[in-house]
Amino acid sequence: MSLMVKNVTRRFNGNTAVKNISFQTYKGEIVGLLGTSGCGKSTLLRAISGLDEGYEGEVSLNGNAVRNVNTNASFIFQEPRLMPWLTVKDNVSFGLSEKKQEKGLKAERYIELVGLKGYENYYPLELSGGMAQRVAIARALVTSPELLLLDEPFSALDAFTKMQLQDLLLKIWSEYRSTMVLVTHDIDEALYLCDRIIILTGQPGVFKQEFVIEEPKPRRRGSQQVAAYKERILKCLEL
Amino acid sequence: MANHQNGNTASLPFPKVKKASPFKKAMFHPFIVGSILPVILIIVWEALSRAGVIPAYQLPSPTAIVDKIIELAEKGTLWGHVGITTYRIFLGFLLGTAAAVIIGSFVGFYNRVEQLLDPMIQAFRSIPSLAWVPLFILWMSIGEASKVALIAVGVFFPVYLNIVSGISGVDRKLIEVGKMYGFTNFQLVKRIILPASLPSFLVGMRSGLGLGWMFVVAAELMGASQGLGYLLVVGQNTYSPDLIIASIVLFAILGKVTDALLKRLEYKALHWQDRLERS
Repeated sequence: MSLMVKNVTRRFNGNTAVKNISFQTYKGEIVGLLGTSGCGKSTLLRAISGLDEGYEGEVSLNGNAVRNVNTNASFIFQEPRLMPWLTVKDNVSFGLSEKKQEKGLKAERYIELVGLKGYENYYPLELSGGMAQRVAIARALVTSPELLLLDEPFSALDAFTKMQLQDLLLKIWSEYRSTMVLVTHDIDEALYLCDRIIILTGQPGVFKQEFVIEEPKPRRRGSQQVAAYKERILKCLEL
Repeated sequence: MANHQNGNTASLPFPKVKKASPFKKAMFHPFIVGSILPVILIIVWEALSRAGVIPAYQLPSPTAIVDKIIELAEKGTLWGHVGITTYRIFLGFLLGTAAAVIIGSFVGFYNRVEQLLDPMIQAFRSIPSLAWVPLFILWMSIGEASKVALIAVGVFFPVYLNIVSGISGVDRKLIEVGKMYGFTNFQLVKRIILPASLPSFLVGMRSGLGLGWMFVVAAELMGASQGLGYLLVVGQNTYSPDLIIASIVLFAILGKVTDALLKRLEYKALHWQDRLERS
């Protein structure tokens, strides 16, 4: 699914959070929105998702302007946001409207994909943070979304879990080739996952620069080419 | 209500169990620990009564009270009294809870309805319960209707308050998950808001039931020809403290049993909650 963001501005009670952002993604592309905290990157993602409808400008999916939530898009939040009263399986199939058996089969398939086979009947309180986030990923994928929006999905996890889940995300991408927009403040994460990185800076956040990462995926963490990109990004962020 | 976000806490699948010998385990079973004080109290009371320290016309001995209950049971009147009281509680509890769920849901969901209804309901809440009795008797005469209505009023307020606070306390972040799936308002209510406010609803039901037992006594004291509250009046008029204490004991047992049933329901419905393990 191709996404087009045109001149999106969001104000909260007169304070501008993001100003005049425009960008475009192509089918199957992973685009990173990178910036320091407070630059409005999450605000922008919420506007794209339709969870927030109070923005100015235009968001279009496959050429059609949208303002409310689109069921072809899925959102992975910073926290897992699982329903504590549902088991892993029921959480994954939460948004499906098919018959019970079909729902169960679909859920099982995605639970296996995220590596949680055997945990179907666990409750969220019995899961570790990384496992809970895997469930959240499975829940976002189960509707076969064409557009996946990720809001700092791994920032609350420890370094090792984070790397595992980044690899999981790449595995999913290579299988389904869904378009992804990833909000992150982690340069290494953006360089590991994204085809293109859009840098936002300032308050209100404005478009600063765009980097096209031409390295093929999967990339080696800490390779020289990646390090060169990192240096340029750091310079751009004036850090 | 702080346990809606559970994702970040890494908790073990099973609570740690300290190893203890079977004997020690049996000794410290919660049931036994909970019985220690009542048993001591009853023994002391019985001893004092037998020694003649407490005169029987004021406080009869525990055995005398048990005899009285057995006597009532043998005469067959006990079941009628217990039955009618339980029936009133049940009906009043059902009506009060149903009304609270319907009104509380609307007040919790819609800001406008809250602004419209809540001040009036809060004002009604501050009316002492017994003040309703003469009015209800006047309106519905002395029959069952007035008693059930009084109990329903008593049950209504705690359930209502807890539902409203439960619904307004639902984590907006969970609601957003539903919104991303394109849920309608009705689906959001049914699939996220109601389950998430269930803990607070159950707390409300338990305190509502407690108040229901209070109100049934009030209702039966005021005018009834059957029921445990009626036995209290009979006991007072016939100078029989054993009858009064026997009905008090029956109230205690029934209250405890019904509360235990609700507690069991609460445990079953809320097994997903992250509970505090106390040592």
